[in-house]
Amino acid sequence: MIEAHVFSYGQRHLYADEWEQWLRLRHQVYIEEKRWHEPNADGRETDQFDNDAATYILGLLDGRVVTSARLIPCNRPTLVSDVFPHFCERAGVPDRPDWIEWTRTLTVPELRSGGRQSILTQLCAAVMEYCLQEGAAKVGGIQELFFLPKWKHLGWKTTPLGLPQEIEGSGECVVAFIDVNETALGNIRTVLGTGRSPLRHRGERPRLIDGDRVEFTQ
Amino acid sequence: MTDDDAFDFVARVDEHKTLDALLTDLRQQASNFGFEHLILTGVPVGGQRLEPLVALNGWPEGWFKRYVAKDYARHDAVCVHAAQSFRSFAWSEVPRRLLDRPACKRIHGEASEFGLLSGYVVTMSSEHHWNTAVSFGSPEDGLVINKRDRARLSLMATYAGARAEEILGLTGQADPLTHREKEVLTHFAVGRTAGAIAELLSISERTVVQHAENFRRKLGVKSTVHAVAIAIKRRLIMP
Repeated sequence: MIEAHVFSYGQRHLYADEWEQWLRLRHQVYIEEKRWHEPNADGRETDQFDNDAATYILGLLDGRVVTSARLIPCNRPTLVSDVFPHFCERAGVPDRPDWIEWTRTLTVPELRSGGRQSILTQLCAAVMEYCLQEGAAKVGGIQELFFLPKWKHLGWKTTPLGLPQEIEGSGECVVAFIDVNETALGNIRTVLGTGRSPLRHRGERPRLIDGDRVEFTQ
Repeated sequence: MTDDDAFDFVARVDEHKTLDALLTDLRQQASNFGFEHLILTGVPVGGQRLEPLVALNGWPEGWFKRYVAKDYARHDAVCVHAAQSFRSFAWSEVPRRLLDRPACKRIHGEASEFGLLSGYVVTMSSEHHWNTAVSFGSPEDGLVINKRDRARLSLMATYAGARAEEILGLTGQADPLTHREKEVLTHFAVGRTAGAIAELLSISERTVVQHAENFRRKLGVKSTVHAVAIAIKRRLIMP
């Protein structure tokens, strides 16, 4: 099982080595595999949403980063609010601090197997547990419509905020948010076959939602 | 059909406790677009039979019987394309190299006698099948649906597909294969023989064969090659 380490953007110095590994993984997955952007000379991928609003969960196996998530409260600028607001025609662009945008989830290529108890499912369980502990109501963001049923496979309930639309190179995408509650956590734990918490942190436990955030100066 | 209809459907889809209730509702919605028939099914691949994969059957009865009896899924370009497509498509958008095959043309000719002249397919990921698809059929030749209607249909079909698998009890299960079965399957996937696998894992060849029988049964396939394909697709193994 992974250890899911949680830290805020301001705490990234506590994870200097893992952070570096992860930015390189992001470059490999989002730029070299998916070709979202032009390659960066330094071989790392970052974007404008890597800032003080973000909390990160890195899944570690034997100290190595194997999976990840970036969480940002929706009262701060998000990928949905700044780039894809037109995908929220139905419900409006989410702006509540207890709605959390979830982006940058990757799994290292050699661990993209394993079925229900996969590394990805373990990461999903960590995201749900942390969001629940932090008082979030919903977590979600923009995603491929084709893979939307996967949430149902984990026993999670989703709500679309608008109709699906085509994104060049990614197919039909939709903005959808998942209900954060005890049921959702219980259901994914059933799928995983374990109730053990994977969550870890170094230093102070980071707070997800604005206002409670622990800030660090470097 | 309005956006409200589509989002209302999504909001109530979990209230349907039976496949029949889900089918009735989805059919009602589809009829607003001019689609009288629909089928929601796992997409058969590698010679799988269609019938056991079907979750919602709103096809004309005579047509479904004939389609299954004659194993049309192998030659029907719509069905073949559904296994390859990560996005929804109108029947008329299936690549011509598939549509123009004589066997396919014959099938589509027969389908038209049952009131299936044009249609639209929504595909989605499945934990249980290669993938899952909903095919909507219309008696109107060359039925055109606009972009917004396609989006509405795709959204409803995706939620219906996920709910159908939940009603069938295909979701929320643990990993179907044991660690050892996956290990053996991975060795087969990279081309090793039962004998070689037995030696590598220090077990008898009979045990390897038994593991192979088990994973084939659990995955509902007859051959090890097919088991490899399904297991890779479902990411149970990563050879």
